[in-house]
Amino acid sequence: MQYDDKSRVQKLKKRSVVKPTEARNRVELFRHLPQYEHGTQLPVLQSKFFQLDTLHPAVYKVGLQYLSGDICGGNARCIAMLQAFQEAIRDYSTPPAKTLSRDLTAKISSYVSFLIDCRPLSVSMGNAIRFLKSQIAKIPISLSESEAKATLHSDIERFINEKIILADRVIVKHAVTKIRDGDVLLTYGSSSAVEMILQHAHELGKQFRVVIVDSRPKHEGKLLLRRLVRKGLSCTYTHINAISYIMHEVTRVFLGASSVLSNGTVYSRVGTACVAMVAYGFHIPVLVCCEAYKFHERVQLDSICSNELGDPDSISKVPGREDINHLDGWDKSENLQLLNLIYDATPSDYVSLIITDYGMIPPTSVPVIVREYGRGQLWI
Amino acid sequence: MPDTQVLVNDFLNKLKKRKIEGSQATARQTAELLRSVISQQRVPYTNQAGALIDAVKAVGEQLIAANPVELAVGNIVRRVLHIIREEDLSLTTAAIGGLNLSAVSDDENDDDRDGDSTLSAAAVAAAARSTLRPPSLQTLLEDTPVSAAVPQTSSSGGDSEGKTADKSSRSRKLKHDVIEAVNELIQDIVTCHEQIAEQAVEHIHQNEVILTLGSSRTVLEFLFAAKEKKRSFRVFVAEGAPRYQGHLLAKELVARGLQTTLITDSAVFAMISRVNMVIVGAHAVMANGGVIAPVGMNLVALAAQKHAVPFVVLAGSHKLCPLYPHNPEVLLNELRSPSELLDFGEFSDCMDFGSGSGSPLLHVVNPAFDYVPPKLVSLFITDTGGHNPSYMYRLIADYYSADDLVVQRRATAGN
Repeated sequence: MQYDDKSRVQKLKKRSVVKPTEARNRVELFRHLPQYEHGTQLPVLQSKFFQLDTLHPAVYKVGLQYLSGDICGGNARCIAMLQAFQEAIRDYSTPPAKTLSRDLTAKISSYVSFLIDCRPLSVSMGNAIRFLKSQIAKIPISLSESEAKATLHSDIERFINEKIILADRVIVKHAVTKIRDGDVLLTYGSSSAVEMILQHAHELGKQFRVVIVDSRPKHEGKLLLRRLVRKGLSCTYTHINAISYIMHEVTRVFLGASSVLSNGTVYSRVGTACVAMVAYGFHIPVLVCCEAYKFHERVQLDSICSNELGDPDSISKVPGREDINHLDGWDKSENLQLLNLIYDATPSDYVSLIITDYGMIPPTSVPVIVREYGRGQLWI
Repeated sequence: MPDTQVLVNDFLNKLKKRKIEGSQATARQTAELLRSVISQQRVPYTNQAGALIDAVKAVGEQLIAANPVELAVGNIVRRVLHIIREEDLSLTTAAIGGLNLSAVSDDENDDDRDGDSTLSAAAVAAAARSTLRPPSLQTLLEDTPVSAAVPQTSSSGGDSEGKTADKSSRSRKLKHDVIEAVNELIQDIVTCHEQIAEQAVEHIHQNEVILTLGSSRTVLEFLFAAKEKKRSFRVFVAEGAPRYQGHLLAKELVARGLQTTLITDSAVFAMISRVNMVIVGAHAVMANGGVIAPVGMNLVALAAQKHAVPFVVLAGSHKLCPLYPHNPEVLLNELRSPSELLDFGEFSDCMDFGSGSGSPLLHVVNPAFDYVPPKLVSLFITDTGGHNPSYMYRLIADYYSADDLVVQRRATAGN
């Protein structure tokens, strides 16, 4: 979808439920990506909750949760979306004179475009939707509606279970072999896979320290810090500018990923590339933990051609520091733009190892996995 | 004397409590303080330079100890010591020149001789400097303090009457010259921005994209000078957490009409592929060409090296430190309050000191400075022009004397 093409953007706006308003002070480099004003649609949509009948309420609820940022992180978003689709399919009934597969696919597509309006899809969600649509297309016409719905329900259940929950357990099992006593492990932001690895290693009784690196504007590291300190791990907390200072003590770096692309590039939270680069400069191994369902056959060289832009207001304000208010009224000056990137692309040379549920692979083996285990065989 | 002591104590307090922001302000105030110390110091007839040097060293030692991380203080102390030595040297060579002239014509009275010595001081000093300055093996091996040696040798000829008149006028002259030179130094410190900004046009072309981190007044003046000369360019400013000084710089740049985009520090690697040049300020420049800069600068320098983007550091000459850094991330760094990262009491609910070994589970690190090694810096732009990092050690010879590298009063006889 090209957001710098005005006619297509107009058409999209007419069809959409969310009715976003375009941001003023758009960053020129990112004109091909949607830049909308945040914070304006949520109250409107909340008031319309009981009025929309084109959308299933479960899907609507998940969309609102994405918009407000309550659900965040590739796995969490994917699971929430699939569970909402499960409910929608359960309540679905085929209209007369239409086939189930085609009509249901059209309905799912309309749900997906609503979710895209709330927040652009992550790669994990995109792969899950592709899987679901292919399963719907495979349903034989002879099957009755209730049987078809039951099949779909169990397929989604199996996907969540095998591709996400069990995959995470396999990743944790592989990764704890890489943690030795006396290690100082560095992690960036908050990744569900890395958190599980650290907790499991601590339960196994390994002695290690954790360094949590955090950055603006989301400060996701604070949530991870809270959970780990509660479990009794000894943690050091710092911000991304200080990684050159702290990297002297670190022995291993564990990073999460939103996706790994076919040229080995790790597409993950913005700032991951900085951490990987500094670790590489200090000759410290960088281990990326990513479930295989997040791999994608797309390739990307830099962080600009494809990305997501977040709310620029969260940069102008610093929560808790009222003295930093130099940028109040920033949208009135046309010379100033604020850029809030969500993702960035880490080149594959900085990554030593990718830990997936298919094993521990180098970044160059990712296209092999995508090809062998991608579309054809979905189940191991 | 009590006046200066009060001033010194006041300044020491400010340094200890980190109340003075920025190396330029620190340098200027240090120079002004040393100027008042010098002007109020009573100098004996013999060896005034030695007395002045001791006085400055005594104050300087305390100033450096108050804030060892603020290298500009030590730089200015050493600059002033170098000025005293230089002025004493030029006066001595002028005196030698004057004595030589008097040896030729003995009937001239003192005034003429003084006039002659002042007139010929510049020329004779310049000529004699080349013979007196370069260290001969003898002076190197004997290890005699230069300040003690020089005035004595010049007293070996000529009559005593002329000598005393000469010395008293010389003592007034020494202090006068030193204070003039210190005034020039203060002037240089204050105007370093203009001289650096003059070079802006040579480095910025049209339609350029520049990246900077945090806020530096030198960088602001530099960019503004280029804008004045009608170069059109865009600036990406990284905000520089946790002090967020990038917000200030962005606001100033926008007020002066430059296209500015503010990015978070985590986005530096993502955006640097579209940047033509990185221009940053420095807190201090070490003798090996390494840079002590606000935290986050090493990240930018590494990203710039990876993408082959020139990394340009702007620094006034008062920031050049004659010391070589050893383990600078730890020894030349300061850890600031963790409350800038985590609010006080924010994590008090999950920290239970009663469990385990009782040691705190949570440790917050907030360093103030970063060290950028010289191989990552492409160019230094100072008020004396542009230099390679490998050249910076030569500039030390212009500003500092080798005897002053360790600012300590010698407890041995010889004062």
